[in-house]
Amino acid sequence: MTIWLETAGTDSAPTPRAAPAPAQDGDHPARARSLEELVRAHLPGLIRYATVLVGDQHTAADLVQEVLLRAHQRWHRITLTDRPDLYLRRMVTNEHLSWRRHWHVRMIRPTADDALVDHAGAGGDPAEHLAQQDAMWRRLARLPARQRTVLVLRYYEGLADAEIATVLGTSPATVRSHAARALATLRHTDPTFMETR
Amino acid sequence: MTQDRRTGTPVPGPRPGGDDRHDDLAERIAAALRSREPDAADTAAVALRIAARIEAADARSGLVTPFARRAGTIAVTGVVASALGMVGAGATAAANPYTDFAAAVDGVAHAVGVDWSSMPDGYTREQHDAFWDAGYSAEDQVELAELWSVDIIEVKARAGQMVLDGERLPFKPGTHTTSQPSAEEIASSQAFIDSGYTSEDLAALSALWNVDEMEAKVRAGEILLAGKPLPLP
Repeated sequence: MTIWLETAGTDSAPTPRAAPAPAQDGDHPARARSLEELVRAHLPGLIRYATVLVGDQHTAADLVQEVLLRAHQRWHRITLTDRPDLYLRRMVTNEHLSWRRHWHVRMIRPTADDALVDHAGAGGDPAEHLAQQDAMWRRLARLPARQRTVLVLRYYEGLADAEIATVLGTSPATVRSHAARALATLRHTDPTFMETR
Repeated sequence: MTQDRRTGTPVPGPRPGGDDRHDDLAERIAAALRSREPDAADTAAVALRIAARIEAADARSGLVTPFARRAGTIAVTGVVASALGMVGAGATAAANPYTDFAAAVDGVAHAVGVDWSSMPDGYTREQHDAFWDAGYSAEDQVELAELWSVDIIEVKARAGQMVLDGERLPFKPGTHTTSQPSAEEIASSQAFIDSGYTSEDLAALSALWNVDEMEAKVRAGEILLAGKPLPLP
């Protein structure tokens, strides 16, 4: 009999091994290992992704918690997928898009100036740097939700278009269409680009 | 496994006809997104709280999974490891022998007695300057290449030398030009570049539509901006 290891080291591809019997959902040690893996391997990245996606740390925490409370009962099964990281991001993304429809007021909040200062780089004029980042953030916030999500997954998460397609449950062609339209909007509304035309 | 992957890194990818503006935009998008990233301590605290609530939910369902006690340490470790990986990639400068900088380097090399040139063999900077200063266009260059059946380097060497020698070329400078693309065509072309398709995709579209790659890029960009996918696998 062949089953799939719960953890696969540094590679996302699962590794087959021979075993007497597959672990069941009701198997407590296996369940504990799966949940521990969730915290160790996925939770910090998922929280960061959700925060950048929704623009608010508290909303992001609620979002991740709600998703994981729903997912943890079947977490063992999720670990058997090829890419549990993408599966979890898909759940968070779907929840975000769903919340945004019903609860969009909470989604994008301006960040306090002192928080922005904490994230500022060392080079250049800090005030100008922050102003530019803030302006870009606001333009990103005004994009349609799916277009914005594509940019977060591409430029923050560093996912390839095929992986983004998996997260969004669509095709790479649609991802690229979203990206093209989002970037066209950003370029169109960017004063620094308009000056050089 | 990419479960806690490095973040905040723009995906450059092979962009057909990509330019510095695209890379700059990608960098600025990534920077704006990173500016909202929670810090390590906040992330660890949230991870610990969520883990505790999942554990509590498990306990209510009759299952006890003692992982939450270690969650804080584990989460902090993960965050720090991720932060260490967030090193931005440096830009790579492309060498171009036709820039003022290259000309200056050549001049310095010669001044200190080094016989070195960034120009291709058989093509001098004087020829280069003479050809372009005379007002010949890139389209003139292509026309001359076809007329003389030589490559474009040799065109500039030969034509530049003819200009230096006071000889007449087959046609006047600027005879052949291509109309500048419209703002809409530039935007469409840029949309294709931004989309993430590759040079190979562009070549496939060019072959599919039986048009040159510039036209294919514009047509593809128009389709993308209309919110439709391209006819590619």
